[in-house]
Amino acid sequence: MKPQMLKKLILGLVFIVVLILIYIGLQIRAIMLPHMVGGNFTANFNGNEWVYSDNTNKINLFYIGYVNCPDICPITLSSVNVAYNKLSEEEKKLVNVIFLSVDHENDTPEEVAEYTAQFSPSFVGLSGSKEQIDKIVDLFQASYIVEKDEKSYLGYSIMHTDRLWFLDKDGKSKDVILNPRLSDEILLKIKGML
Amino acid sequence: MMKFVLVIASFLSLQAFANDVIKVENARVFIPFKGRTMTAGYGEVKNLTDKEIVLKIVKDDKFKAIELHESYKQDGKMGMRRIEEFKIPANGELNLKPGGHHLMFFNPIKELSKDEKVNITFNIDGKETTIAFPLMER
Repeated sequence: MKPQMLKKLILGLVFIVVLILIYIGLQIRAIMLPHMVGGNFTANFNGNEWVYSDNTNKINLFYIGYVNCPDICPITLSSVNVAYNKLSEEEKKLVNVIFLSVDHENDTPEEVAEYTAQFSPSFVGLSGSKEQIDKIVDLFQASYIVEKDEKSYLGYSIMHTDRLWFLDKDGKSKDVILNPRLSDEILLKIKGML
Repeated sequence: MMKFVLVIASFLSLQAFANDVIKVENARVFIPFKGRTMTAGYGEVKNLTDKEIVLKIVKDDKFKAIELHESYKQDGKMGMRRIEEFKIPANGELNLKPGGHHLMFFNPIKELSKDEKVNITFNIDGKETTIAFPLMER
């Protein structure tokens, strides 16, 4: 083989190896990122200040959405509730379920608290000012986008991060379940952490 | 005699959810949560014909508004948008399910209970047909 050709071959192989390493790095980052987010935060529960560190439990499930979300949010909270109801009374005392509404324009703290409690009276529905909500959303490297639709009866919908986080006592994500998620998977994860 | 009654009963039940163009299995509309005015409806819509059908929404008899919607995933986020029509392939099926295509209902015109049905009128390729979706609690 001519030296010129060999050089091209080596350069080509190096290029392919670099691409593979970049791809692997991105995949690892995508897998690890949800596990490296979170922290202590302050929100509004039913009109009162609510600080995560004052209300933390052994296992803390955390989901963000909005009250007028008729599809994915209630399904997620229903699945969590099915899993929660399969726990013993003693086990339930070790589990918090926290829902944060990002719809600061339409969801009052009272509405979010009432909505969330309909899944289970112990579930906590949080709201807050735009600043508070955005701070929490940033903390979890999450996001939301309000999408206006004048032709729709409601007039808007909110695209939001769809992750069910399991938080430690400091509010850091220990684990996460992506969509689709079944109640059995949630239960298994809770049982594994108890 | 009992067998005959059961056959008639199942036939009548099927008629409530089907016609010669579509059949809807596991049809359900959730009663809105207390204090909320919106909810969703699901079911498996089967196209009984050997050609593609286009299904549009016309009205229902229990809510002020009804729309066809789809939930979609994008960059780790879930979004939802109103769409004009559902297309169902020949002899195919459209699964209206959480996180996918579904029916959206706004503002019940009266208090709803789980022994009732929502009569939904669809426009299928220009012809209107009404299908009953039972109401249920989540």
